[in-house]
Amino acid sequence: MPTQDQYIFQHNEHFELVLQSLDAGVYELDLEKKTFWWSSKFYELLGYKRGEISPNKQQFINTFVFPEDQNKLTAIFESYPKIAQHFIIEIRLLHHNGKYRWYQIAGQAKSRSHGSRPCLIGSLRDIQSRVEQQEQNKKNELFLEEIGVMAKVGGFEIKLNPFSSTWSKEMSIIHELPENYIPDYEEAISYVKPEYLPIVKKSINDALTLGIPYDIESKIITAKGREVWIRAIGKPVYDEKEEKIIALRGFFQDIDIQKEKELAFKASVNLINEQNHRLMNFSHIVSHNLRSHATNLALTLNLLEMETDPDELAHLGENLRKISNSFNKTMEYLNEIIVIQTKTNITRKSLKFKEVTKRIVASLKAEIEQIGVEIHYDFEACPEIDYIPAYLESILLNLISNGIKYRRADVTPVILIKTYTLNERIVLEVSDNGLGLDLVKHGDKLFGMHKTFHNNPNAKGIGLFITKNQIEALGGKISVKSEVNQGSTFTVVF
Amino acid sequence: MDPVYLTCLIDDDEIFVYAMKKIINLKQLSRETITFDRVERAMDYLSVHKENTNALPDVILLDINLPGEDGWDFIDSFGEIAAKMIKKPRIYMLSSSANPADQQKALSSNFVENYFIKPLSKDDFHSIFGTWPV
Repeated sequence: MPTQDQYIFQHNEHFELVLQSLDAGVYELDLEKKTFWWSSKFYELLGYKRGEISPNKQQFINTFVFPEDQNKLTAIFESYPKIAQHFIIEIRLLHHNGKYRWYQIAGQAKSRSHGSRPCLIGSLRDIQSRVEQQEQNKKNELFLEEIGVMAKVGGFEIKLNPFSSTWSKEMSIIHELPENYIPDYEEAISYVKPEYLPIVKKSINDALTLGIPYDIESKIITAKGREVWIRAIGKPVYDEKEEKIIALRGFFQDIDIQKEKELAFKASVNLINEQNHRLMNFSHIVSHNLRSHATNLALTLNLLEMETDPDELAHLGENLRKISNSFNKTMEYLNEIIVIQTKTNITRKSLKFKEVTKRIVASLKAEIEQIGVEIHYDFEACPEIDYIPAYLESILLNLISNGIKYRRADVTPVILIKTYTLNERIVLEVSDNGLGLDLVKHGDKLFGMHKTFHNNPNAKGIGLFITKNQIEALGGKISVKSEVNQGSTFTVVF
Repeated sequence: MDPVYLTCLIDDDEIFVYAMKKIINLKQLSRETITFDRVERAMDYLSVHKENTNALPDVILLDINLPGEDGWDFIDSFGEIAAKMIKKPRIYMLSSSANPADQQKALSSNFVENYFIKPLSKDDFHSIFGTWPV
C-alpha cells in the first residue's frame, strides 16, 4: 500500500471540494507501484462508497473493464509515461449493480518531480446516456434509410449562408449513382429532365425566397440515362425565431411505376371517352337521318291522300322516289361507317405516300386542271407508312378535295401536302390557302356529321366525318387549324 | 292570334319544303309562303325589307341544319337587325334532331318562339298559326 502523502490530491480540502463539485471522478495511478487513488466521485460513478474498494491497476483492468475493452486500456497504461500525451478513451466498466456502463477516461502522465513518483492523473465520466442516444440515433438512421429504400424515398437538404446541399443514400440509388456519392447542387439539378427544369428551379427558388412549400411531379434522367418519374416535396426551414428561411428540406420519391400506370389508365379512359363520343355522335346521326326521311315520307303520303290534281300527284310520286333514293344513300353511308369500325383488323400494307397521292391527283385531274389548282407535296422526311390502302386513299382524297372545294375565288388554290415524324408517330399535313373557317363557330361541326343526306349537292361534312372515323378507328387523330380567308391546315397523326 | 299573312320557310330539304308549302296552302294557314334554302339568302331578304310591313313575314320556320350558315347563325344575324325591323316575325326552329341540347339552346334565345321536332303535329301547326281547319 502506498503511503497516503504520496498522492497529489489527498488531504487537500480545497481540492476535495472542487473535485466533489465536478460531475467527473478523478484518479491518480502510481506508475511505479501500479496502485490507484480515486476521488469520492470516482467511487460514486462506479456505484461504490469512498474507500470501499481499492484495486490496483491489474485488478482494475481484470475486474472492472469490459473484456473487449481491456486491451484498449492496457495499451494506454503501458505506453505511459513513455509517450507523455493526453488521452481520452471510451470504454465499458462494471458498475456495482453488476451491469456494464459506458465511461470516458481521460488522462495525462506526470513525470517524477518534487520527490513524487511518476503518475497518471485523469478523470472518469459516465457517458452511458450519451452513448445510448448515439446508438438510438444510429438505429433510427438505419431504420429511416431502410424505409427510404423500401418506399423509394430519398431525402435532401439545401442550406443557405453558406450555400450547401446534401442528400440521403436512397437519393443516390434513385439517381442510379454510387451509393454514397453525394453530388453538389449544380450536379444534382442537372439530372432533372430539361423540360422540367424551369418548374423544379422555380419551386426551389420560391421555397427558399418566399417560403412556399412544393409538391411536384417531374422526370429525372438517371446517371445510367434512364428516365424516371419522381415526386419531389420540399419545405422551407426557418431559424429559431421563425423569421428567416435558412434551408430547404424535402424528399424525392421514385413514382415511376405508379405514374406509368396512371398515364396508361388516363390513356385508356381517353380512348373509351373518344369511342363513347363517336358512338353518341353516330346514334345522333342515325336518329337524325332516319327521322328526316320518315318525316318526308309521312308528309308526302299525307298529301297524296288529299291531292286530286294529276300533275301534283305525279310530283308527289316523284318525291316518293327521291325519298327512297335518299334513304338508300343514307343506309349506304351508315353501313360504310359501321364497316370502318369493324375493319380495323384488316392487314396493313407498306404504302408510299407519293404513289398514293399521285394516284389521287390523277383521279381529280379534270377538276384540278379546270380550276387551276396547284398541288405540291414533300414526303422526303417520311416516305412510307403501314396502313390500310383504301383508308389512306380515302383520307388523302377527302383532304385534297376539301381543299379544292373550299377554295377562294380570288387566288390560285394551292394545296401543300407533307409528312414527317413526331414523337415516333407519322404525321400528315394538308394545307390550303382557301376560305378557311371560323373554328370557334363551326369547329365542332367540321368533323361531325349533322347534315342529312338528302339530294343536296353541298352534302358537306360526310367526307371529313368518314375520314375522322377511319383515322380514329386505327388509333390516330385528326385536327385542324384554320383562319377565315387564310386557309386551313389538317393534321393527321397516324 | 292575328291571322298569318306571310310565312317564311328556311330549309334546304326540297321535299320537306314542297310538302310544307302544300300543307300551308291546303289548310290556308298563311296567305303566302316564301322559301329560302340558304340562311344567307333569307338574311339578305330580311335586311332589304326590314321597313316594309307587307314584305316582312309574320312567321319564320327555321331549320337548324343547313349548308353554310346554319339556323344558329341565322338567329345571331337576326338579333343584329331585329331592332331595325318594323315588324317582328315569330321564329320557330324545326329540327330532325331530338338532341335536348339543341332544344335548350333554342328556347334560351330571346328571338325563338318555340322549338319543334319534325314532322310537325296538328298541335304544332295550331300553336304556330293559331288555326287548323279540318
